[in-house]
Amino acid sequence: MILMNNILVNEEHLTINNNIVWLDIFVDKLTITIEGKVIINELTTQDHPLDLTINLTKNSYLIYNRFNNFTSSEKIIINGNENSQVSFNYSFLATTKKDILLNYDQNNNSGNCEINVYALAKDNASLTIAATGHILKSTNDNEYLENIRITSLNNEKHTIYPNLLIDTHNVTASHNATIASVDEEELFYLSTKGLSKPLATKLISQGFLLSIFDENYQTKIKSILDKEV
Amino acid sequence: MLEIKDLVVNVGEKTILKNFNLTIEDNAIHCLMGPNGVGKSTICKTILKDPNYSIISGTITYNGEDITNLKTNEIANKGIMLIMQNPITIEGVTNAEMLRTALSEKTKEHIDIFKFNKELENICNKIDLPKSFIHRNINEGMSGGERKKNELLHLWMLKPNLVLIDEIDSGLDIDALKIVAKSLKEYQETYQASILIITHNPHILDILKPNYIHILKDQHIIQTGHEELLSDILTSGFNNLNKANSVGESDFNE
Repeated sequence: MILMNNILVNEEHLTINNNIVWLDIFVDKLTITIEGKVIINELTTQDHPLDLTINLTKNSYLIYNRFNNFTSSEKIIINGNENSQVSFNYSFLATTKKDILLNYDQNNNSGNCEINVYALAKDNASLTIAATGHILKSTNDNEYLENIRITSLNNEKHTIYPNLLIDTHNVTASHNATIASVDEEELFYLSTKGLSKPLATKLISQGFLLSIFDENYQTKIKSILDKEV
Repeated sequence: MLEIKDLVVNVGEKTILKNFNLTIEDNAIHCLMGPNGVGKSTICKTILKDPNYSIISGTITYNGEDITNLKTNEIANKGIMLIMQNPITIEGVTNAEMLRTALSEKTKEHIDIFKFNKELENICNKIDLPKSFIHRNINEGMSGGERKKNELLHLWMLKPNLVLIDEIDSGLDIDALKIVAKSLKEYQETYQASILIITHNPHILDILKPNYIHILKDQHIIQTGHEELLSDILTSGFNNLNKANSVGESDFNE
């Protein structure tokens, strides 16, 4: 049976088993162990640094949705396991300097990991995102996809380090990193429908941040975006 | 009424249109034809002020107002809409969200969500588009035909007085083509709208029955005529036009 729970996380270790959970994380350091099929929708309410480790157990399945507009830097480590599947979807709106470190380590066979990080930089935001997928020696049949995108609404410097550390021959791995301003063609298209440039920019920016999430999570974060973008 | 006078349009340093004149009166259907690469799409994008096209000289007036230097959204909100040949995808932005924002911007009024959704559903029925498209991201994952129908959804909701249609037939199979053409004709008749359509497709023209056919060549309209001109083009192409079937600009303006 699948339950849906809201969890206020005040401790440094959490195990989630076959569940759909809404997490509000209050600690700066957290390790989550995933067992069975799990969907985590994170809606942390307070801005604080986060050192997050996600340990996938054998045959586990995780969709992790995460959105915030926090200023603090973050370190996220995902440890894959045999036949584990994870889709880590993280979008954020940044207004100041922010560093993200994101690692995926796989030391077993037949794991599947997809990482999507979409960031919108405005005001004084200067972003550095380092994402590293490490598929270790003697592993087989792993799949890894890393997709990191920054849309910039300012003239600050943004950097993405898309790293693939592959120590095995039997793996499917790819990465994609883009830093761009709002697409002129998209702006023109929406303008032809009567939208002013600020309104079109707002819709495109919101759409960009929402596009990696399912409808359920989108609905929750839309109200935050309406105020912030 | 749209009036384009002595228009010169550049893309970068290259002149695409020169001495371009065209008048589209209310409640009329005009078809623009011409060989590939002569600038047919250019005129549609220029009217809507695509930033890739520069107006070097000339004027565009709409209902007596000079719109040459207006912004794209201002022109759209005057009642001119462009249906592009290849409508683009916008990730994360749904049709409903875009249309609600556009209508709110245009009317400066609160949109009644119940009426808005009902109207969207009725239009979907009319153009044979699944209702699920209302909440789908703009053109995302849609086939060429679905994208064109999606543009019709925008058309019926935004209700422009002048519709500029660039090669809407591309990507449509024969059944979808008929639905699209009939919907355009119905729209034109319902709202007494004007249409400028770029197409060489006889099926769509057979349904739309344009009042005027214009031939664009050598950077401007070289010939204007009626059904007979269309027959000539379909029979002989653009290089062997029968001048007897054309009307002069003065006749056309009358």
